[in-house]
Amino acid sequence: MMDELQMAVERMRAEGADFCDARYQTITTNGIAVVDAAVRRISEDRIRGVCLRARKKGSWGYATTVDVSKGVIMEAAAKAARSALAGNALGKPIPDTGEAKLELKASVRHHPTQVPMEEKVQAVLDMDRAQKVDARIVNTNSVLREETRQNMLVNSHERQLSWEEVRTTIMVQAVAAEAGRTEFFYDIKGGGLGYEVVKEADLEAFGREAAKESLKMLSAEKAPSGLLTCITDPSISGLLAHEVMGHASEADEIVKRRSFLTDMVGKQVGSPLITMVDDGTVPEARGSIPFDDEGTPSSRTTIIKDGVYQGYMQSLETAAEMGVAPTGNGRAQSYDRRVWVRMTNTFFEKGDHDLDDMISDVRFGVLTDRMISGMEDPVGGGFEAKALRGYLIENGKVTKLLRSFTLTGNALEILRTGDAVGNTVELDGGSCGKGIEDWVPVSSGGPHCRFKIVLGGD
Amino acid sequence: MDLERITKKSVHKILEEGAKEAESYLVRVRSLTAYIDDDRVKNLEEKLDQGISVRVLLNGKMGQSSSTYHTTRDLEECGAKAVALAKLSRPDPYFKRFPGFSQPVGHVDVRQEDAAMATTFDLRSKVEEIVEAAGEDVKVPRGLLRVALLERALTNSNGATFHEMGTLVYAHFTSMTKGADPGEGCECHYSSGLSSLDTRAMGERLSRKAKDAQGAEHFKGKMTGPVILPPDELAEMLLTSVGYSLDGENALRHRSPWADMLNKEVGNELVNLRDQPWDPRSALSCCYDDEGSPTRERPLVERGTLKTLLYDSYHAQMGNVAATGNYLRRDPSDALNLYRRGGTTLPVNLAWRPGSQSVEDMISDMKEGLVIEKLAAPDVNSVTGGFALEVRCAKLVRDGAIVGHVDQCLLVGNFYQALKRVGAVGNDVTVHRNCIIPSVRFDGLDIVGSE
Repeated sequence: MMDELQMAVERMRAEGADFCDARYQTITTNGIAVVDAAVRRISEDRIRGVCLRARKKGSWGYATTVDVSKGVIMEAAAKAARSALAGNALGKPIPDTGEAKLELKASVRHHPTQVPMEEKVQAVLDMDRAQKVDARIVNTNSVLREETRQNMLVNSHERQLSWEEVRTTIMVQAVAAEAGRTEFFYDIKGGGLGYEVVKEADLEAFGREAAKESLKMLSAEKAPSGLLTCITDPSISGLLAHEVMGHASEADEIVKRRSFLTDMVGKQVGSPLITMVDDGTVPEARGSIPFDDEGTPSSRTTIIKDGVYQGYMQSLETAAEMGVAPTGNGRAQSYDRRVWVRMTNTFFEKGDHDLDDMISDVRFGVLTDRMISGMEDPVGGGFEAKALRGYLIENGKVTKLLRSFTLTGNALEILRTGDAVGNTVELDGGSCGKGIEDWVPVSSGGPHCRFKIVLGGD
Repeated sequence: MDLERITKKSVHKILEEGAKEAESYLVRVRSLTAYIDDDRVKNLEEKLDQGISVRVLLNGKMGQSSSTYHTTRDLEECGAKAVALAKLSRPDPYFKRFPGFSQPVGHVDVRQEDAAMATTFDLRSKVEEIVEAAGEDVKVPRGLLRVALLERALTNSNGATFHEMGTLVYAHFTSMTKGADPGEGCECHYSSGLSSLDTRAMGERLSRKAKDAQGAEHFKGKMTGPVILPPDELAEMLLTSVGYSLDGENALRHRSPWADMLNKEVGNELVNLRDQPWDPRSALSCCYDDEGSPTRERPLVERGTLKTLLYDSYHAQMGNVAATGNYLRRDPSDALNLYRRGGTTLPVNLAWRPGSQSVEDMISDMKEGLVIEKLAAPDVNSVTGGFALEVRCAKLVRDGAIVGHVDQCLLVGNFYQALKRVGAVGNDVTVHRNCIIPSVRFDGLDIVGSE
């Protein structure tokens, strides 16, 4: 296939492309889902295809095909080049990315292809059965998902790369009901790992504890509302890092001056306790990649250092526009999706506070516990995070369990109120969309952080 | 080879592999997208996709596999993989057979010629019209217009078979005012053809929304009162709440608030919801759902009373009821990789019967409240109905008149309770995703401000 990709690149150059690349990708996903102790789904899904991408001035043309015969690939290459020539965007030329020939395999301990499916099915059944701890558990759900990506890339700067990515996730979700009230709780483990995620987990405890927590949720109370002292747990800290500061630090938003962080390099944007990075090299993290989808090696980008804004994540194109080096953040959901500037693993660095000390200083506030979702706002800098639950803090002590609520406010105002940063960083794996599509595997996180944030919940 | 013949060939081959029952679902897609970046045409894309999804039953055990489809070998490998996985599964306690053949109940044709024949150059012209209509003082930093021609076919070993074609048109644009402290607007369009996309009107709305957002003041304090939700924001909230509760699986598994509510009150008399699977305005309209059950028009909630729940063939067998023709793999915004998706049970098109009032009339009846323009992420906790949503821009209404715009506050409530406090239903029916709904006023929602 490398030869076909190379010929496609030559075809796009001959059609007038300034820069071009050709990618061949196979994504294989294995999934096992057990619901109420019965195997509901056991599946393998595979997509495979070629993406041809050509650039003329600032415009891109894309053509993709699942038909990987040479003639069809060459025809698609010509279409991509013609589409690029039809655009009218302005742009600086992409500097030479440098010649390279590399082939990398994922360094996982137990590759998914080497573990018998029977063992996997039994593991998911075990997680599910462990959730049935009480008659009030009305529904149990357990999932194992494994994804293997085989990537090949050739570009017009003589780069020829092939690499593999493996990710594994297990998830449990228990639903509890009593007296007309229904609540749920979930837990997830995984990352850029193989089947070791399952082998090294206590599956019985994993399922059982999720179920017990869902039972506790039945007595959770409504959260207070208004501007409050809030200790964000690592998952909610990660949403603040990822959704607001992260998305707004993607350099395509800066080039367009769409981000509220445009022209902020060197300025104080948060408490001096705050340091934030995007790092695609974190071992075993879900967002880690050897190369991005343009063939740039992943790297660590410091976004905020001691409260001072440092800079942006870059693709080849935005780096060219801004006259800096690419950072390995040009990513695509799959071969048939657009390459954008995207995050990898985005998180606040640890501070030196113990969680107990952070709680003991609070007269009235909230400690969050686990996220449901968050939303980006690169234009306005607004923050929205939905927490699965939390705890009320009164006079320095955790007192009551709170049901789901939302945190909101202006991100910079929130960051400026940060007065304590915990001493342990945790990362939470997930998938990130840009706008409302183009999902890529990422992680986000940080330590517990103490801020002033507006809260509200039903 | 036509898709129907391929699916038949695939089923035949899977049965030879030892499966007792088999289903083969095949899709072929041509998808075009034009992207705008900063007022200029940035990307033009043409994508060709074709893939197959196979489900099999073998000694009561199920297996599934899907793959992009290029050669006969892809078909054979996909079928063989599904059979191999079924052998490794456990006997399913409920599922015994795929749907049998049924004649279609209704008819709809959502293959619109202007979308089927469009080129990337046609799309380029349309997106340039939208940018131009947005005007000089507002820019369009990001936008996309997509058209897709989708052909899908299904055959199963129990006799079900169909072959349908359709088109989808999807647009998503954002706008922002120029200069310091910009305001942002957002517009979407969902349909089956390009003729219903009014590029000038969309550009003008993008301009107005960005300017409204720029002038918004932070909402202070707390308020409880009426809130009008426009069709786009309401659709997302409906799908994550009512959409979830209408799914018979969630009732059977005791995780739905509507589990025991058939023929009981779930809203007030202004809540009138139907499934309209043959509405030509929606790209998801179809005669057969994505497992071969015929679709049907049906009331879902009438004058606040829950009339039915929806079942795919699996959960119909689990609940000992009939499948309702609501198993959907498709999405109204994107046609790529559909064969890779598991299906979900949803109304094909969730329609809310419109009222007679315009939004202006509804506003004039309000003493103090909000008209939402943009929420950050309008989703509802499906299980509990709770929501607390960041308001990115809303009109503030006092004594029947708009007195300004506000932002940075939370809209708080419980959607299942809110359905019992619907105050007015508008006449401005719009298609958003697979919802065909007007603006609706909900009374007694909480607004929590930043101070």
